[in-house]
Amino acid sequence: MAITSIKTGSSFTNLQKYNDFLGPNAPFIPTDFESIATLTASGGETSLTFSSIPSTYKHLQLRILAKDTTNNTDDAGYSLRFNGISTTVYDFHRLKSDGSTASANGTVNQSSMSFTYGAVASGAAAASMFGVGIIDIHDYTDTSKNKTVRALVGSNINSTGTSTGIALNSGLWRSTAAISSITFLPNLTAFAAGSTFSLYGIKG
Amino acid sequence: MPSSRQLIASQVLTSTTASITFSAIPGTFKDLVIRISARTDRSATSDSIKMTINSDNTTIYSFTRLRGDGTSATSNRNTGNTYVSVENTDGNTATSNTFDSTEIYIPSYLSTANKSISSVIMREDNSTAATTYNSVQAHLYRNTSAITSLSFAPSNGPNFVSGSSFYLYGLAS
Repeated sequence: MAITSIKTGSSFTNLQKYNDFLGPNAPFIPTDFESIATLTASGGETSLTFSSIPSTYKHLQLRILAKDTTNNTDDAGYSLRFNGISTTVYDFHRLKSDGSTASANGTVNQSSMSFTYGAVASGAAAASMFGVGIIDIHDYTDTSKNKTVRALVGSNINSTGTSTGIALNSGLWRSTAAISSITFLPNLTAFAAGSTFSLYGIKG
Repeated sequence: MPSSRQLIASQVLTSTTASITFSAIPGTFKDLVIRISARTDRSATSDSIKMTINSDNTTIYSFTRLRGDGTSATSNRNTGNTYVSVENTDGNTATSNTFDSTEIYIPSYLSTANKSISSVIMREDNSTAATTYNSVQAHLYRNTSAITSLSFAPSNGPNFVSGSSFYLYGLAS
């Protein structure tokens, strides 16, 4: 039955007129950037793993807030391992700055790829301080390519010391296997409560 | 309005190719992002990527670069370039099956201002020699025209190898 008129009454007060069919709703905008999963540490985890990563995307991106439970004041980074492989097929290189000096280094033939400055240490940082990082992995299902990882990470604890900093990290997993799982390992002790690891898929 | 990332076009090479072009880029987005995983057939461990905007190869490109070569951090800049210089990618003698990881960000590609561009590129290698580059770069294209095409070619190459991939995304605002 068609509605031909609405009269003011107890059920129809304070009506808002809209000029389009969306009304008060935000428009839907399709995106090729989708959330896959998020892991949040409860505290004390010595590893966190994204498993059964779908192969339906072209690229992966990880967005991270991380903290280590260690009580010392050293830089507390983290490491990545793919598909549970712990043989010495990982290389990594860094361009970094500790707030005082810029430098670069590289290490090869490791059992994981380590990203410095990705996490802060509980012994140095206040309760609500975390390191931040964005990690990109292109063509993660391409079985003709080793996997090159790009990571921009950094940390600041409101200090002029040099135990935190910023780093442009790269990593190479010398394997052409598709990535189906990603494991994060704390470089010092364990992940502190509230550390958050979010995995996104990017379509192509 | 929520931001959104949408694929505009992609090219994944199935044979060696001298250059690729994204043409007729729609004017419906706010920013552009290009994600590249490339390797060239240059007989060396490294090469560079040239990005040309709107087929314009006049000397109105410039850059400032911060990079690490695996042993030290350096910075340089240059003016009067004829393309956006993104370095370094992997050459043909780098570790086999290894491709760079690059992202180029072009904000406000339709604006009537000159175009400021950022890029981050990682050239990985199973080596501790001073030849493996992590680089972040600021580029300037001194032209106020909207960007409608982007072309990519190796600086030396002469070709990108099979498997090199190029993805162009548009970001809505």
